[in-house]
Amino acid sequence: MLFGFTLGTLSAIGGFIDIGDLVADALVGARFGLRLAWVTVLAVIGIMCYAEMSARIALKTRRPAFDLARSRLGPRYALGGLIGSFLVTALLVMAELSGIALALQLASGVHYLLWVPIAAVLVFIVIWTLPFEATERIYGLLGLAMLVFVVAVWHLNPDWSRMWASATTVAPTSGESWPAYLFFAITLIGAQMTPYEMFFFSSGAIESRWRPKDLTEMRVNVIVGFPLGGLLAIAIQAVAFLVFFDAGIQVEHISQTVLPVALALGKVGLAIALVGVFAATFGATLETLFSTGYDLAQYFGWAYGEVQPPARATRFTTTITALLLLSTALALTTLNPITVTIYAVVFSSVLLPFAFLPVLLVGNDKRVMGELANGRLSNTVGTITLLLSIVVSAAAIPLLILTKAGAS
Amino acid sequence: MTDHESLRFTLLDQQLVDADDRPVGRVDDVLLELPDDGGPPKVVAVLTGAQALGERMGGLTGDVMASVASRMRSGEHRGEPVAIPASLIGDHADLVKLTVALDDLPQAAGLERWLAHHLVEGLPGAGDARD
Repeated sequence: MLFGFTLGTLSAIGGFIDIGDLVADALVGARFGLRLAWVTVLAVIGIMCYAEMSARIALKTRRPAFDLARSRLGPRYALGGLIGSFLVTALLVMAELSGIALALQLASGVHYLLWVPIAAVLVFIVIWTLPFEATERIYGLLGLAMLVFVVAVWHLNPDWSRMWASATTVAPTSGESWPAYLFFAITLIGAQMTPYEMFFFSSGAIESRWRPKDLTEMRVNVIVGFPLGGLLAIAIQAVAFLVFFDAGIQVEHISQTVLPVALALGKVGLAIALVGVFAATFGATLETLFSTGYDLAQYFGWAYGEVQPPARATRFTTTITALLLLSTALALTTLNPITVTIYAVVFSSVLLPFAFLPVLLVGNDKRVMGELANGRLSNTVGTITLLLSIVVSAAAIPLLILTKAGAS
Repeated sequence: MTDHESLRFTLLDQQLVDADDRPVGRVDDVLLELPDDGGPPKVVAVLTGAQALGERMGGLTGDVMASVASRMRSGEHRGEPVAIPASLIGDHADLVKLTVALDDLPQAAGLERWLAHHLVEGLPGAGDARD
């Protein structure tokens, strides 16, 4: 039973908590306390709704989410979505890969650029040799080490009434502007409600050969996994709030994300946190790589997947290997991975409505879905999420320019 | 194929699989024929591959896609999109299933085969493409 839950846990730890979250949550916690925690709650509800919907469609039709965009809305619409999500997810691969290297730097003291090629080789070996389910289990379970952030909140002896007051205030802290506050709200949405989580979850449902009888198992994964990711995200915001906010320290490096854990729990806590960061970024590297491969393969109808040996899906394997090489090269240019992450998640938020629309259309189609079609709950939450994502999508780029990516 | 079907929903852009459920490609276009006696158009073949898709979409993107795909192909049929006769189409409810194996369709999935022979198969742990 335990193992059945791990697809959700991997999606939660590796998809929800990825480099974007490790950066954005700590940054937001240090600048705004818990005043953006409500965004995480909304993002969890939204992504749960769409992950459940796309996996339910996959159970019923055996077609994953990206596949449907093309058969439902035609090749032009889907090509736009393909190019957009390919570029954004490719940027994220570079950022996640740097995240693995940064975790190794924190553990060893050796500069992260030296770790980048080693991390890439490790990723390649895992892709090439480990079957899908083994991969998801290992990183799902290792990622549970991230729970050390939740423990750290208690050990920092917080003033709970002040935390609650911060979490229930929807306004920027003094000295911060509304545009900056809204920009970071969009950054959190982009980091937490990523289309690749949905593509990965529904393609994973196909790879795990889930059928309509597995509906309950799939829903348990969604209900356990994503809120767990949300809890971890809020815990990272909370520890950053407790340690950095009063001191007025800005978070600029991933070492600052784990510093509060070291302060609260000492070396052992730090070691556990680093295992968690390593597992989360490693899992996310695999997820982002596979998602780009899935998107491309599903658009053109190629064979894809980890269930096939590499020689049975050569175009898929070649695509993700080429992308891994390209990301390694990009990471070695010394581009700041934190900056790349912020841009990638903001661009990702622009694409959200384009990824959600076909899923909502098919999920609601009784001719295709029969008795598994959306109920009132899915349709209501799905529609509200879609409308919100349209607002986010339209506001993201103007706010990025207006606030100089959150600098002012 | 039966009469009076919606091409848009049951055929065009759907996933093509062979007799063993191996992915072949998408139905990127269909070839229709108008019978001489003035009856309804009949599907003669389905076209698959990026060349067929590019030619169907048209515009700059479509032209680039079609010309790249056409240049990547070899043999006497390069320049024409891959066509699979309608007689080979079996069941087409969710997927469009062919009644032959992928290996009997030498024109389809050419890049997949090329990569298998020249790049992936030689590496250890890759498995066998013919399994």
